[in-house]
Amino acid sequence: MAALFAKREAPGCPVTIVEKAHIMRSGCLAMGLNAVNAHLVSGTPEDYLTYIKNDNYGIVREDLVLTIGKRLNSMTEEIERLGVPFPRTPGGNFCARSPRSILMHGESIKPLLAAAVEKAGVPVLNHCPVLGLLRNLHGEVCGALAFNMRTNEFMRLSARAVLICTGGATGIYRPSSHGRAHARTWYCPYNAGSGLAMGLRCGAEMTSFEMRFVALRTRNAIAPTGTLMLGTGMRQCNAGQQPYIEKHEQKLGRKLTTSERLMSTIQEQTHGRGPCYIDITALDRNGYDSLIERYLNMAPSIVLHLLKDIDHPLRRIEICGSEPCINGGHGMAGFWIDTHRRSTVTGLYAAGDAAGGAPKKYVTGCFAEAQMAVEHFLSREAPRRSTVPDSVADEALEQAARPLKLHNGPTFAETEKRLQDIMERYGGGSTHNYATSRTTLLQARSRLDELEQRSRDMSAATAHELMRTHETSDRILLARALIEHLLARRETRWPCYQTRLDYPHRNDAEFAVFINSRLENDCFNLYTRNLAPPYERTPLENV
Amino acid sequence: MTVRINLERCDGCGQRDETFCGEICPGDLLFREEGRIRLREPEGCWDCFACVKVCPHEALCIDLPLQISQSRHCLSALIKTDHILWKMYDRQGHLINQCTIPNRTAQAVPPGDNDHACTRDRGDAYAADT
Repeated sequence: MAALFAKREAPGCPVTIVEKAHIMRSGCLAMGLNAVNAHLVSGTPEDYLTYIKNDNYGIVREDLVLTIGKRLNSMTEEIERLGVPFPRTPGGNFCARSPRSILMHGESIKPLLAAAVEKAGVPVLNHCPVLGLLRNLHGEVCGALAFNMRTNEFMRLSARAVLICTGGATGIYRPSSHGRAHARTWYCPYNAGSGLAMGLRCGAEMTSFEMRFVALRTRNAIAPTGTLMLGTGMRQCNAGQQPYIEKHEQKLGRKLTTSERLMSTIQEQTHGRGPCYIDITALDRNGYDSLIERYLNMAPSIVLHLLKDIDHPLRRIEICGSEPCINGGHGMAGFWIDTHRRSTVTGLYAAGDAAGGAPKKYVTGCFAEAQMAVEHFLSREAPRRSTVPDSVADEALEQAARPLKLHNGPTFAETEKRLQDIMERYGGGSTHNYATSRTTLLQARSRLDELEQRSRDMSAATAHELMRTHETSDRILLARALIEHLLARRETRWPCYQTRLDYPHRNDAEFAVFINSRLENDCFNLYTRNLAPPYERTPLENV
Repeated sequence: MTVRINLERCDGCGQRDETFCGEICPGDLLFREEGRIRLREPEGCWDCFACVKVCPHEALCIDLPLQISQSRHCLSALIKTDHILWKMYDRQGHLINQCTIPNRTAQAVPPGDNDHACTRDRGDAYAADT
């Protein structure tokens, strides 16, 4: 989308998309999408900010959320212009499922976007994972090192600016299914957080990794529950058929936040009232058919569960929490950016799930950020930067190609499994109800350090293995950063997303701040940043 | 979740440099070996249906491992000009349900669109089924 905006604003602007798969079906939206979840049906961008701030217990970048909020509805128009069909009411309006969500027949959102990119004449390097960013002697990002998986060639790309839109990271924690269903994660398993890892390696500041995102999903097929609840008005029930969300809401006298809805489900289970379900018995035939249709647009495999037996379709759908992931589109983990979506490293922008500070931006918010980054880049004379010295580029290349020269080292598969085991046990995985404490996190830290050393000898024989090896290294780096963030926040701010058993309460006096990190000389330096501009930075010590 | 490959229908995309499914898979999991498609990491499939939707021969479908689903039903998708036809089969390969969803993929370009021969092939495959 960023490339389309750039071509529209400045047709002569040379812009290239570098993609590790094929842009037609890569990443999170490969399956499609059945709703736009950040569209202001009613209310102002300020109302959107208020909702997000409340849902996030006060910690959000207000400037980022507000700038997104102002563009959300125009991004829906952009999606419609691509050719994605939106169902309409008889009055011609979008079909709203909540004040911020509308229905869409978005199965083909990616192919349609790819077609628009093609039409705009944007060069695309498909099947070329970027293995690292290149910096000149001033420390400015001025290119990237990529690997063409089809020709087995390394490529040195030069750029006046690089925009990271690589999404968040999954595969850090053990997925909820095993064996052949190992990759049946909520977030796209091919999002290894490589963009975040690249940013860390060139010194960019990251924010709020400790606010992991855990989605409430249907058991096994890991399909969205919003489609069931927002779409049909069905309720979450425990094993005794009691709706438990309402019980909590009555007690608190307010709506539950997204993380509290997840926590209440976990609580029902830990109190012996699980498993929890969404009961769809009340759905009539039409409702049921339209539910099937909406799932086919977004998470088709759930349909195999729903229609288990055609004469006796499933009436209660079990729900559970997904594995935690790092993500800036639902959660708030990612690059620390300004309102122009510039990272703290010159020449490097970040947008979408890779950019932090603004949760619940979803697809429209991601596109809005891409537009803001492009506008800023085009708004001024792009400085001609000195290029990367050959010696630096050669060293980067040698590092990137190293796994191909090694033999009999650990494989990416076993290294990744080890990482997932460490994080599951000591980093607050789903089987531990997402809870952590200083003692477990310190275990995770030392084991990850060992794994990191060991992983340097990973070997690869094919192009695919080389890509997977790099992804595994990226995941280990992000896991190490994540543990430092979890250690630094000595409170429980977002239930399940960030739960500290040793500090079970929210502590606004000390921790109403952002926790940020930078990688310097292979060590993580942690900072706090104030909630309001100019986001004053204070180093954190002894975490 | 994994891709089930119908080797009777799969022709390995003939003279194409790369098969449609191999080109589109977001996880780089499908590749051609001796003219037939193979899955590189069977446990790495996200069941996103990208390969199922792009296959001009309806040679691919997604089934759920017994581990997470008792039914072993499998699901295929056929993209037509203005809608997608989803078909569900039981273990014996009998069609048990189908569902049509509006779409506008006619405007979308298949991968490797400069490969005119393949584009034409795809067009024919759709036409034959309409």
